[in-house]
Amino acid sequence: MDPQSDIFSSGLKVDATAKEHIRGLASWAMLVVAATVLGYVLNIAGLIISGGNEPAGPQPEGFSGALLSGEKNVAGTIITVLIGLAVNYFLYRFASTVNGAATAANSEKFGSSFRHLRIYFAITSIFMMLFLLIMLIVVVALL
Amino acid sequence: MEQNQDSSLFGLNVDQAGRAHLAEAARWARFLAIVGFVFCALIVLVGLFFGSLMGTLSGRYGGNPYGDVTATPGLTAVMAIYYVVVALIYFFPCLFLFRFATKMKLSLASNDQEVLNTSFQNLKATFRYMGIVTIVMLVFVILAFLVAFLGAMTAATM
Repeated sequence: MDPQSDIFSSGLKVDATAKEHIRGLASWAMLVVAATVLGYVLNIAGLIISGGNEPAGPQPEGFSGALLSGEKNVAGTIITVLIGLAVNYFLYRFASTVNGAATAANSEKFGSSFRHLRIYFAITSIFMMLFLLIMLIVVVALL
Repeated sequence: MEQNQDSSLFGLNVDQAGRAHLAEAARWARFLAIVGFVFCALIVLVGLFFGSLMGTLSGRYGGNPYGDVTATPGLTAVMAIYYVVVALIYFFPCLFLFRFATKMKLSLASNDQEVLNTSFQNLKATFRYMGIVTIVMLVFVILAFLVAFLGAMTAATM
């Protein structure tokens, strides 16, 4: 890129205020990732300690299903954790690169960090939509 | 030391590639926020109609482990309040995210530095809120673990 074009550039800048905000959001995003991963670790630890089964709750007559009996689906938990880790990986990449990119004034790295954030939002949106659809189906089935 | 071509003396310039990534991130953030609002509304509806839902369950499956919920308006009210509180807790990060998205879109369209900064401020608020809620939930989980552990120890020693 021709450095001369910078003089006439009327584009947006990551100024001191923006850098301050970016520093803050990177820290908080990293905290979210750390807390979420810790939550997953505790979840798996709980699963291991309980041996994959929780004590069975009262069984209403005529209704059967692992949901009411309280049995934990080990495979389901592991899949949930793996998906969660995959999603949070992109948030981690965003948090770890955006602050450095803003400080070093590296526009390529800055743009790349927001690409990770975009992927994080995209995957989260898709899973939320799926969850919403399942919830709607369950509610409609119950009515 | 050679400076990055894309940076000015006064800070980092957001180049075309960066603008594209920011625009895409804002688009998905907006979508996620809207899905979140719909989710909040659904949670509130479930809470408000909790009593009748439980009644339908007990009628359909001939028995409910929680008893006849429709005969306990107190429990129905408590569950309704609980769901409304959950929806409220989930509402605010969606609002901050929506604000980030709309302000980012506006700043990219109008090259407004002030609006860009406000957009980053809203994104920071989103993650700050999420961080605090996640930590609070973790504390509850850890407390539950401790209580279960102490209970198991007490049962073992008896």
